[in-house]
Amino acid sequence: MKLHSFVKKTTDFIFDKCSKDIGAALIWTTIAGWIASSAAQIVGIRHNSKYSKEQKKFMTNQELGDAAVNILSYFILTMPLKIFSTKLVSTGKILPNNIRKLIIRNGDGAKLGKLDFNIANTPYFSGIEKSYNSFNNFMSTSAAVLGGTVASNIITPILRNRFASHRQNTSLNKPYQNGLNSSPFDRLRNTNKIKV
Amino acid sequence: MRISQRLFDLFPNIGIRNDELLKKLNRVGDIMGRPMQNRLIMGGTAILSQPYIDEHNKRVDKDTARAARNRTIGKILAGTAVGCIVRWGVYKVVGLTTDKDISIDRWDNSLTPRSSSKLPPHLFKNRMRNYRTVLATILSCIVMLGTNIIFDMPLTNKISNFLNNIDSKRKKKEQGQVKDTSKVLIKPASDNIRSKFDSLSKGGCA
Repeated sequence: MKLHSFVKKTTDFIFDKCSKDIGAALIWTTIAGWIASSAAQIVGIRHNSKYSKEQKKFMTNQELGDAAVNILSYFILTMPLKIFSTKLVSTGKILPNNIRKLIIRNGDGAKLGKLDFNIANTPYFSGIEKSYNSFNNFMSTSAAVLGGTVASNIITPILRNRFASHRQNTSLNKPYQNGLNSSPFDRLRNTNKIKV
Repeated sequence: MRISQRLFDLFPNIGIRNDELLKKLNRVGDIMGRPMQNRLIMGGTAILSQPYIDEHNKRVDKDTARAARNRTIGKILAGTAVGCIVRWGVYKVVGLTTDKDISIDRWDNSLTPRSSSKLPPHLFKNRMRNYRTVLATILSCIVMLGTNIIFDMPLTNKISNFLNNIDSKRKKKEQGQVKDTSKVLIKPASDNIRSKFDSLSKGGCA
């Protein structure tokens, strides 16, 4: 019974919060998917015996960079793009003509395109809700897909490669800075110091 | 994110008059948002750009760049294939368990939101379609926590190892060709000297 009421509550919550606009849900689920996928890939790289130590180091860093940069670029690019596209529709900048006509007929023509205007808050909204939601869904999904494609397929690979090679270089240089794995030159210098 | 009115005014007010175009746009929005199709779009665009970027990474040696490219190809192919199958399956299950009638609790309405009954009939279809998409995407994410380890990971390794083998075979072949050409270059030179020496000695004898 507990599970049943949990399912009911969850489905109601998802329906109330996400069924008007799926763009936001797409963004959050994509981010969750990346984290899960990157974690699995790191496990995969670590257990693949066919890679050399250097290749494993680079690819693990590449994977970490991939997840971090993906999420970051999504917040920097996709999210603002999605918010902007939703704003274009909610303020009436871009709308189907039948909705525009109805807004003008109700005396709100001058408010179209103003940032403080929101069609969803108007008293006549219920009459246009269906076509408004469909169009808003198109704009929001397009922005999420466009932003996601640019962010994760162009910006992320370039930045993650930089991040990975930087981390690889620092981690490969590290052993020589430790006392135990110091370079022969360092060891010789230290023994001389002890003798003196 | 704050948008200034001045920046916003740079965009003209647009009204879409063509009803046919509007229908098509709404349909495109509906399809692009569906879990499987969305994953397919992301995977399709990823395979076009990411391997190229990885292969031309000048910050690492050629072998590591190729191994990274092969791994990226493996990851995209495995991720897209498994992701699409999982999302398609979950979307189907969600479709089967979100029946309109919620008067009695049954298995085929177990995932139907009870609050959907309060909606006016003309909004029901649209909102339910969006709900199914979102629910299927969320459930797919949960399912993929398992499939990422069970299927994605070994499949990625298999594809990338297969591509690495092709690369190493090609490399060996190229190295072999270089050796052959070097042999061809050296041989005639030594042969020439020897033949010249022979001819000189023969000439001397004569």
